[in-house]
Amino acid sequence: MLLKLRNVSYTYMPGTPFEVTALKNITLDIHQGEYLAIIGQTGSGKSTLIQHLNGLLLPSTGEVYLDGEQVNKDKKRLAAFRRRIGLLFQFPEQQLFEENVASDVAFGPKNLDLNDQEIAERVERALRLVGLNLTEVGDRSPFTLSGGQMRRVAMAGVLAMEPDVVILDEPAAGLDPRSKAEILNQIDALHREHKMTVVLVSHSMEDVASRAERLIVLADGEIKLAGSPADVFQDAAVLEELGLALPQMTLLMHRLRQAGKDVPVNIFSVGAAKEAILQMMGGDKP
Amino acid sequence: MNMFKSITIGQYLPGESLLHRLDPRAKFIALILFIGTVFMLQSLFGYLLLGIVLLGLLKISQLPLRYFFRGLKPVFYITLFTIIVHFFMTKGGAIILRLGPLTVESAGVYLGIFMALRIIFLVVCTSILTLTTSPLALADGLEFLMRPLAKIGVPSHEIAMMMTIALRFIPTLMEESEKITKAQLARGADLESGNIFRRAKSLVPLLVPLFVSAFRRADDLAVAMEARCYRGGEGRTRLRELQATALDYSAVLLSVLLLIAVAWSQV
Repeated sequence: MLLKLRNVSYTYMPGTPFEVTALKNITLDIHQGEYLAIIGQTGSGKSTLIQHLNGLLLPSTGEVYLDGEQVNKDKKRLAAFRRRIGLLFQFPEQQLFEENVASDVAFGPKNLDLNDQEIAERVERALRLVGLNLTEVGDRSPFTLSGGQMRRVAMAGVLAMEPDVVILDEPAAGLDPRSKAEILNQIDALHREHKMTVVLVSHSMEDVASRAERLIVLADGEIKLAGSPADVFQDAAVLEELGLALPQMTLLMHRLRQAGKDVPVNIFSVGAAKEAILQMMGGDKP
Repeated sequence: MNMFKSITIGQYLPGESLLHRLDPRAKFIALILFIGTVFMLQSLFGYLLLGIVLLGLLKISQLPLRYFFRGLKPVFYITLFTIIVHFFMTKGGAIILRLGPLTVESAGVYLGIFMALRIIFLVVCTSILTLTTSPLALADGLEFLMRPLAKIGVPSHEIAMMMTIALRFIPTLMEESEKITKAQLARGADLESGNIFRRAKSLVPLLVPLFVSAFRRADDLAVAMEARCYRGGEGRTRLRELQATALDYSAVLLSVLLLIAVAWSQV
């Protein structure tokens, strides 16, 4: 067990008229090497939750443990936690500030007090992980890059810290379909090939259904559903009530099932749907 | 990270009280008259009476008292500093206390207490105004009151518009600086340790993104305003016309009477 949250609640601006309780009694385990997706509408508490995972926010009540050690106010320990848990915020391209791409990506490793050679190697590796080439973009100003490239540079900035867990808040928001698919595929590769623990935050079932191993559905600061995508999508009615749509292909399979057809319902992608429908129609593969 | 959250001076709290409903122009005029009254007072008894008036206004405003006074905390330190400086620096009258080479003399005590009371009264009455008046209404009121100045070339509408925009973006920029702070903290930035130069340098990763996004926002806003044919104050009509009622006139009248009464009592 890597990260453990026990009865975590969080209240913003307590004791003022602006008081809001964003998380209520969250208990959650995140395992080494898993691909977890946290899903919820805007305002469901997703962003508040992930800030608890690396100690940017400390719970109002409840506890957070990393490898059995409680995350608390101790500054030295907090820095160590943040080193192990990489967090990429929404629209991370807004955090770029250096003169060129290479030094921006190097900001994180520099804060780890590594030697210059190690930093250079990490910058090169991190850029490669996000599909960019150091020799091509390294000397360019980050502000001259396209939106999708800027986002990848920001992502490299977090990956260069070489964390055990990488948490990404809506990494594909506001990108064109091609950049979106690219960035999501790169995240898949981080998990598959580099054995990283990935926590992906999204409001779109479509994006995460076929990628994540486990889903957590958050609404009003509480965990409403949890389990494998197939388990979670069984509760179509609950999801609809929370304003979260099933992936289109899963919905299609549900409809076919309702119409009396013999099809599996745990299908999340167009390709899988095609296979299932062909099989249902009794035809051989064309 | 909570550095911005503790600053609550002047943050508008929506409400339904009598003071919330008053015309912003009336509130502005009353505030100016009240400030005049505060500066005219010469006796501690007068401050006591005016203090009761202020507490009455606070009661009418229905603002949560704990929240109100917590927002005044930074002012409290400034006041304390003023008192201490006056105690030791202002000379005259009988010596009250002797601490080595330092003496506290009666004129200093007297002036220190008066200055402190003035600062507190000024901040409390201004806070009541900004806490009960939305930024938009404030700017509208100010624009109206500055209108006579247009004759001597003061662009009153433009100033009011700038004020509205500035006020509108304070929370946005605060939110953004908090977000960027967190993003850099997550990348291992150390913002709190080291000497003053190191700390100043550690602000670069926050300030650059903040400026970039502020300029981008300004640009977007300018385009959006032009797209809706904004061309300054000339001939511009408003959605919400300010309408003074009997209530507003009586508020101003009461402030005038208070000022006259105080002025008369000092003669």
